[in-house]
Amino acid sequence: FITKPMSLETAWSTPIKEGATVPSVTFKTRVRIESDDQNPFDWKDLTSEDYFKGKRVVLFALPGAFTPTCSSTHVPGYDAAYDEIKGLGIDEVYCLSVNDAFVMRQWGLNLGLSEDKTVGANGFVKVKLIPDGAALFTRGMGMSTLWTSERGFGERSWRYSAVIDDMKVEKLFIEGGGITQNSGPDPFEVSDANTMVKYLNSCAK
Amino acid sequence: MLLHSIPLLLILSTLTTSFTSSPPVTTHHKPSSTSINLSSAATSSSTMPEVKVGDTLPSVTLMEGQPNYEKPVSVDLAELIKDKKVAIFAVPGAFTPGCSKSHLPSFITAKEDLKAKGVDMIICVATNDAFVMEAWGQQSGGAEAGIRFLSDANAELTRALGLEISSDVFVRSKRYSLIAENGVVTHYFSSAEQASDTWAPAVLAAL
Repeated sequence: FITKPMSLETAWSTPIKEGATVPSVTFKTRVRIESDDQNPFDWKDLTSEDYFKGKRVVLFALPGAFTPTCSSTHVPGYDAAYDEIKGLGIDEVYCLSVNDAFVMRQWGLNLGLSEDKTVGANGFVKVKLIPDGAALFTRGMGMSTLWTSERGFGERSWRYSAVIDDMKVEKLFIEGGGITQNSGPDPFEVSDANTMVKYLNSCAK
Repeated sequence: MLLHSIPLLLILSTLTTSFTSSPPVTTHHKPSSTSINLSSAATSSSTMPEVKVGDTLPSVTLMEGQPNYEKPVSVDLAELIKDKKVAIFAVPGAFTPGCSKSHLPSFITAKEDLKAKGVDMIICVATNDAFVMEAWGQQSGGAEAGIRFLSDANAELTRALGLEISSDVFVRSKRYSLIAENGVVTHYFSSAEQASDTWAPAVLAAL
């Protein structure tokens, strides 16, 4: 086929609704293996089911690894609140971005997240990073956003957070009330850890 | 909400990079393989033919990340390399093993030798965004060695050189190196046969 400028199908940018089931996709992740090699990792396919089935989890997604807001505030907030969140009926906290597994891991290290060095481990000790490099999950969630003219990103995830219970969206916090393509502002008001903790506390009562 | 996931998976399985994975062996360890199988890359009819010696590099805008999350700065390639002898090498991905373990380090090591051959500047290009490129430059020691890490996020340069690995989601650059004098390509090193043809020793040997 002829390469043409990217345009996004409407469905990819129409956010999923609360109560719906998250998309079943395969993620290409890197997992630590038994090896003396300098690069003791190998590919491992993980599916949505691996991440979400039979668990109640917090998921937050953001536009890009190594970018200012994501790095300075969004991830650190959740990593600091990780233990508190797990005490509120949550099994895991995931951070997802449309970046490949190599970039995601390096970003985690760069942020100072504690790495889990056991063989087969899911990368980091607290917040787990999900590389949605091919944007499959993001498209299935209807959170796909083009961020080209403003930031040179191409297709990325809009910023949002969610509570997902056994593959179903229990609660959704979407920045800006919805997706804006090539948005100038990159809103960060409702998908942060504090808002999430407040919500989880209100459920626990 | 499954929507397009199935056709997307089909498209992606025939496109771009296919990473071969080998299971770990306990007696003789094999390095995990991450080689990019270019022969299975979708051959989209590129709008441009592959770059060759004698071509003039285009005037495209690349982005250069800044330290401390400062806003990335745009750089016009033609302006940057005007009146200079430069080495430009491109990688499919920042932080990926081949690029990080071999291609980039070979240029860090060869910096002085390249300078002795009159190469004023070394530029590393990938289609990753400027933030990722800047972080990679810092983390790899490449930035400290004076290498410029430029983001070709919209693949404008990559496509102009006919060296894109096309994809439904994200265009990557094939691995290559080249030398340009005052914007004109004097030497071009393709990775079509093997990646090491693009590493610094091969470049030095030709100068």
